[in-house]
Amino acid sequence: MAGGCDSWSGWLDEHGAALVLLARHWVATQADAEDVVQEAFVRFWRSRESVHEPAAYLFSCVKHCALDWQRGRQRRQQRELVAARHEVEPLFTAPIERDERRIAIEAALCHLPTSQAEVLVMKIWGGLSFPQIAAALDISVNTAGSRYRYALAKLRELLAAEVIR
Amino acid sequence: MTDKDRFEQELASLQPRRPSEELKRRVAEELATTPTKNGRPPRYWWAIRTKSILKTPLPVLHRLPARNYAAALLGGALAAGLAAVILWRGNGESVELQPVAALEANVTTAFDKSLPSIWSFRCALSGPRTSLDEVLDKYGARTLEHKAGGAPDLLAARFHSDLDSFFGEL
Repeated sequence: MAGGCDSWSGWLDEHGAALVLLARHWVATQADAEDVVQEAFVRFWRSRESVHEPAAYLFSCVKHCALDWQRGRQRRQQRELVAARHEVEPLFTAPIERDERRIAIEAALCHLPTSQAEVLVMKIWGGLSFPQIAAALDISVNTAGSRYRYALAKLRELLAAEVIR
Repeated sequence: MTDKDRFEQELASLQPRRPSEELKRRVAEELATTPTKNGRPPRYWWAIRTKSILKTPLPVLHRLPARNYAAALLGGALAAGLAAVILWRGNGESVELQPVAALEANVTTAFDKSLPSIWSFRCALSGPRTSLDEVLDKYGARTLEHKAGGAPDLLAARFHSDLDSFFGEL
């Protein structure tokens, strides 16, 4: 279960990939996302004992650090520069035969509204339960569940449209 | 298994890119060495500091039994009351000083210029015998007056001893 490990490296091994994926929703590059995760993780680790849901708190820290990061002027300029170069770093690793599908899913994921995408990432790749997601995003459990359903539906719709095209 | 479940499984089969080992190294470095980031205090350093202060056990002095505090308070109140009573009672009192005039009278008598001086005696000795008798008579008469007026015996004795030593030199 998430958060069962006592050492910080165990926490990072277990959640690192999902945390970076979550941060990538606000940050353009993998390197910047890792910077965000680093800051969030250190903040989380120093105050984890005072929270009831450490795993939810960890994802919440990443979201807030990513938003802080996004607000930085210098970083915004850097992001625009990266966007101008059209450099797209993959979000997932997949076998070569599924590479086309991976690219389609990544593109569809980027088109999801942020409120739905963050729930999807926490649920599928973060392994959090709906109550944990609700605690991380400060929303009700029902809202978390409905956002998840909307996200799946939207994603399938986008992928179907991609296939038709 | 529904389409939805299959789709969820497909999504879950995709593995997000793992963070680099560099991230782990940086986190380890930051957690191990510095409590602050880039030499700056953390944003909520005051909250962390307050929390650590609150978690710190109180000194032994603060853990004394309640009866010790009560005794200290009672002692303090008693001392304050005592001081107030002393100050209140001392308000109407004044220190009685010895009248300065009486002291001055005694000193004046002791150093009476009308008494013959040592110089008078010297002059009388170098002159005729009658002059010495006059000086001695004058001295004797004034000494009797001083004794009757209550002149201090100590000063008189001192004068007599001076006079005796003078006659001894002669």
